[in-house]
Amino acid sequence: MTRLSLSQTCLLEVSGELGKKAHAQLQEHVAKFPAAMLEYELTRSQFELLRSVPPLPLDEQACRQVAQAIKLGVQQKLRAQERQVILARRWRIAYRALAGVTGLAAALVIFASVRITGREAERRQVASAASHLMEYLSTDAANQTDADLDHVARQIGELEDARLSLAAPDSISAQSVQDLLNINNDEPSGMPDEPGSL
Amino acid sequence: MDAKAIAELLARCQAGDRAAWDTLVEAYWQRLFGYALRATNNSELAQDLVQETFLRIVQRLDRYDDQGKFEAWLFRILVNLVRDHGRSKSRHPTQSTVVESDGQRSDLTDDMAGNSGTPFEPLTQREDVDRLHGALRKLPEGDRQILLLRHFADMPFKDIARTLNCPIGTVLARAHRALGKLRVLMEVNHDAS
Repeated sequence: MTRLSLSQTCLLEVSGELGKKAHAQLQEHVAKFPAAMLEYELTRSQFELLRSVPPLPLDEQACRQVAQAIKLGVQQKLRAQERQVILARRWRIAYRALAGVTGLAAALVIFASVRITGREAERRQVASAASHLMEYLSTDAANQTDADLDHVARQIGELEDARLSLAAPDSISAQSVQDLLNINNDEPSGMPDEPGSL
Repeated sequence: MDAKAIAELLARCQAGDRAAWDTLVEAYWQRLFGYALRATNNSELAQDLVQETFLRIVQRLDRYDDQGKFEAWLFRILVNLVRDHGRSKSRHPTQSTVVESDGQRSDLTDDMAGNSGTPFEPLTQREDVDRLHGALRKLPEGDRQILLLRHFADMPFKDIARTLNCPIGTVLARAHRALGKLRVLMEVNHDAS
């Protein structure tokens, strides 16, 4: 609650904004003290002076014109704002579509890259294994050590794995692995008495 | 218009109801225009400022959270626009009171209180009103603002305090002082005439 001075309370009173209880208290005070009565009357006359001016000095037609002009301006603004919202929505949709297409393309590129990289690694593995096997097959069996034999056994195991993992069995790499394995499988039977044979 | 009706109207405006905007303009334009007209003494400018006030409301209403302070917000926008215009006017003074509508040019100052009297109206009354306007113009900006809001915008003192963001005691004290000055200025003008 705000405490107000007499002049402020008088101003609220003449302005018609004082509550019932405060109004009664003020009237009682003013009736009791002549100085307060003087202050009240002065404030009232000053406020009445201001009130003597009409608040809106326009005739009916001018009022209609001004109101119409303001409404028109507001409606135009609303229409412009709606257009802006629609435009923004369209941009958002276009942006999302573009982002979707870009994402899809990126996913395809990544997928293809992974496939190509995977194939390349397999090819390298097969080529390496084939090279070692060829080396083994071309070496005289008498000079082969146990370590060499273990190594070749490992290579054969890797080739078996590679054969299983290759997606296209008719590819050149797969065919060469098949051929090498067949050669390898045939080889021991041709040299049964050789020491250290499989 | 009570707080509930204003809240409902604002909700309709926020929902995009164009008719509600017309109702909102209809509810407030006269008070806004009354203030702007007396603050600028230029009907065309006053109309522009009131329209600009509503346009700013259109722009910002979707972010507005109604807490029963719409009127204070509305009038604060106008008060700021008038003040900004006053500042720019002091740099680039202009004079125009002509409003244009339906292709016809009419001078609204002819309808203003000081000039609107019929030929049979007592001259003293017209002169009094003119002198009062002259005295109002001579008041300090802050004091004049309060009297204009109270009388021409028909705004209670507590709402003026809310609009101007200052305690009601301060508003009342300034209003009381302004009314006193107004009376003195009127007496000085009367003696001079």
